[in-house]
Amino acid sequence: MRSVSDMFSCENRAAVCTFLLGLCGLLTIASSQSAADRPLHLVLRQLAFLAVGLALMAATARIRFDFWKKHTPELFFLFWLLLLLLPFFGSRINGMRGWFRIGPLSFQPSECGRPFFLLALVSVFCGVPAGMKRLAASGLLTALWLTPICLQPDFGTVMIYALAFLVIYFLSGAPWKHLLLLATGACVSAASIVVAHPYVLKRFSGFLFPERDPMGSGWHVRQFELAAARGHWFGSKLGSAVWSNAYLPFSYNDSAGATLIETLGLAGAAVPALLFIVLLLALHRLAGRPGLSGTARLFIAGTAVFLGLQVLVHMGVNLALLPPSGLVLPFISYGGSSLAGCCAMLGIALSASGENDGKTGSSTLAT
Amino acid sequence: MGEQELFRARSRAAVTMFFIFFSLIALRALQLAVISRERFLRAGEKIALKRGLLAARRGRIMDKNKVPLVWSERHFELWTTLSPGADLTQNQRRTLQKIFPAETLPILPGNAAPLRFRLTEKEIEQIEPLIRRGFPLKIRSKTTRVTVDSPKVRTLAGVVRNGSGVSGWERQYDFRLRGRDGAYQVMLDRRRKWIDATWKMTRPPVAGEDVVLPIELEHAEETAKK
Repeated sequence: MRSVSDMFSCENRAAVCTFLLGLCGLLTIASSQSAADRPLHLVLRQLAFLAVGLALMAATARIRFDFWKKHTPELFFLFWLLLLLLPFFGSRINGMRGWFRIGPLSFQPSECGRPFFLLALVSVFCGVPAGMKRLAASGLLTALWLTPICLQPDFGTVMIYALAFLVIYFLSGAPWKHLLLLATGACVSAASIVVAHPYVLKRFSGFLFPERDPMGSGWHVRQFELAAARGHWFGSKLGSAVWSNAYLPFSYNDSAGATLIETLGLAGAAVPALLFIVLLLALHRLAGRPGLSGTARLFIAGTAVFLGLQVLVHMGVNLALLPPSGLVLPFISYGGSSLAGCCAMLGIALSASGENDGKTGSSTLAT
Repeated sequence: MGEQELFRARSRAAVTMFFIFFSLIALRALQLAVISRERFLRAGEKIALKRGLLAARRGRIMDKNKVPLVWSERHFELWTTLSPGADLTQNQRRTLQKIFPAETLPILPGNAAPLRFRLTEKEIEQIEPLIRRGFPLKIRSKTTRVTVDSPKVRTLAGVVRNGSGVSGWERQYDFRLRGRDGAYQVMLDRRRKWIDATWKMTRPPVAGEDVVLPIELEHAEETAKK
């Protein structure tokens, strides 16, 4: 008989949280589409994506972490190649050439390829001797990965990758002077992006002074505030989230956080927030397990960093604390690529957690 | 400090930072959804809330045998929302001609006149989904005063303009006939279309009284001569 501690193992907690967050996502999408001509269209698609994502998580967790380490270069280059091909064969959606269209489906390499970038990054952190060599190698790898994403252009995703790189480098034991150098470089790059792309500057000014152009650049920020205000403690009942249906731009993905608050209210939105906290703390505990290799430990921590940063930035944007970035809320926002990328990354992290005792992550899952 | 100890210390610092930012976000959510809620709701109403009047049904004018001489009839008209110079697309025109097959629809820019007077119930049912799909159309209800088929009665009855009687019996009995308009509020979406589920009557209309005159329809002409 399985012991109680097995039932509540970090791996199980992570898997259950992922599933429950996926269900919260379905609820959010259903709420955002209640006034649409086909209200169940996106919900049913997301349900299919969730099933595929969970299967992918189980499958990637079942494969030994050694396999992932061994095939890191091939996987990294495969997705990097896809990113390079995007400007020539990609589809433009919302002003961004970030997707390949295959029949009725879209595929976003920058989301799906995230676990393999992370694998490559932690391999460099653990394989290259500490010091300037490690900084140069990891910086070059990140720059290689981010250049085609900049060309799409998808600066929200670039920002998440850059922040994650900084935090993971910090966790890997980087000296403070390197971190300071990187932070300065990031600030300079951000400033040059703002100067070179007037629409980014417009977004910033719309965020800082929404009242100056309430129907233009300040529109998004104002709608986020109004949607959250309508949520109150217990939200509008399902099908009555008026603001999400009528005013919030992309209420089913980029604005999923505000839709969630309008639908479930502050009390209801606390449930997915707690699930995210439980998931991230489970990953934090898994990363601290004794006997794990540096690569495994850093990969698990990197997974938590990517998910945690994306949750913070998405919710920060959706509560008008940060300028609009176009980032989705992991597991909740509509989109198969994001869900697949997050589930695969979590699956590999679970596989990494079973590295020390020869088990794969999924074999420790209580079923 | 060993590599693992350093990782632990730094990951604890990262977790602490996460909770600090998370708390900031939670506080901001509390501010928007609870503390400053009313202010934001009022700002939202400015953008989305439309208030309007529900015209009260005007009372009938009847003869002493309670035969209606004057009464109100409501009908629905089809209008475009096109700006001057704009026209329906070929697809939109084709779709509309399926609903009105025998007619060619005149497109009068700038809402000069209705495309169609007196829509039938079936036509309204067919047009409403098109409006929801973004066709530049709107249905307006219109109430007209109708009198019995007698030129004399029509003269005596007088005229109603903007809901008020301006001559004849309509003016004489206006206070009793007109009733009191109701009020409604509804939210509009980004395209300024009504969100049906949000429609709410804030004050019910009170119908006008029927007025019974001490004359008979047959003698109305005599009354007119006097």
